Amino acid sequence: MSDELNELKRQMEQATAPRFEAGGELESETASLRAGWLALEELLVAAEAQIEPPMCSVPFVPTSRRRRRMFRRLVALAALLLVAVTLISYLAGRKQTASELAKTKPVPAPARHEPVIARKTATPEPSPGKKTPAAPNKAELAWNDSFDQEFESVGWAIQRAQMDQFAFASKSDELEYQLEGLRKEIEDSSL
Amino acid sequence: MTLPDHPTNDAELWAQWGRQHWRAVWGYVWGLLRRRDLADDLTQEVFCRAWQARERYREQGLARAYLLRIADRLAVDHHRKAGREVNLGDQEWKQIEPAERAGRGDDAIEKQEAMAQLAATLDRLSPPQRRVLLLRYYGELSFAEIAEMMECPINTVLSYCHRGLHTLRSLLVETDP
Repeated sequence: MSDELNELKRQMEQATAPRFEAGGELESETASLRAGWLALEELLVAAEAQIEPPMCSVPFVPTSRRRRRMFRRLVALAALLLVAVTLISYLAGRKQTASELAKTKPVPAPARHEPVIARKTATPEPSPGKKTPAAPNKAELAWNDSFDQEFESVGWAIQRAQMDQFAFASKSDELEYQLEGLRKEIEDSSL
Repeated sequence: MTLPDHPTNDAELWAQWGRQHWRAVWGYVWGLLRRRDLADDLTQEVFCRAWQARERYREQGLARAYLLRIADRLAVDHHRKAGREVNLGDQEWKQIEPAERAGRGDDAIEKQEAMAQLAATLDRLSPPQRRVLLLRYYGELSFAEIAEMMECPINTVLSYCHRGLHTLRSLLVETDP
């Protein structure tokens, strides 16, 4: 710290020293600055006397700002609870409605559609080697299931039906081709 | 003076601590912000925070300085956010001030005049000058401690103090008859 800074520090410490600590002669500049400090001190002492400290006890009485903050937190918590309760009641109500419907108005499982065979000349029996996918289980479409499970079951059922249809269509094409071959053989033959 | 270990065991000690330092903390916050409502709120906040941080506090005989540090941080934070608030003028504020708080009679007028004179004087100081002088008065902090709190070099703090005292002298001493 430079000498100039040290001198300034000493001067400020002397000028702003508490009243009881000040002693000895001060330089004129320091004394004039101290006069300003003492004038401020008088004002602060006078103002301090007007301050009425509250009865300090633990816990403190919440201030208006803290009350507002607490109120906001409570409102946020209440809103969160409201949303949670609404969601829970909605889900519970949906389940209950589904189970009630299942009890009072049982809906039959959707009938399996028979595959439509285009340009059918004969209805062939499916070959024993080739297995068609099993029909959807009726229990999968029970009303007690949640909607998601029901959607999944219906999706699987549609996919299986489409696979059946494709299998029968390819089989009929093959038969048609064989019949065409036979027809040509008959026409070309001397019989 | 130490912070009590537990509110139920040392409530009286805590209350005494509040009584000893409440005025200084309130005066410091009010001196920086010049609003009674904020001074009330922030002073309570200072004591609450000091209470919450009591485990970290170590007795060094500087309880007031410790409280003023918290008060300074809160007041500076508030000052930064103050742009978003609507500030009322004195007349508007008096209109909504509760009647019992404003007081009646000569005593109340004297109180208001003392506060108004102090406010007018502090208004003539720049915010850093005000901060340095108030910390020096209320906390009796050294200039090095003030510099640390204000996060600036000590020569800057000394300069603020010097200019502030000059202003005070010209305002309060040279204008006196």
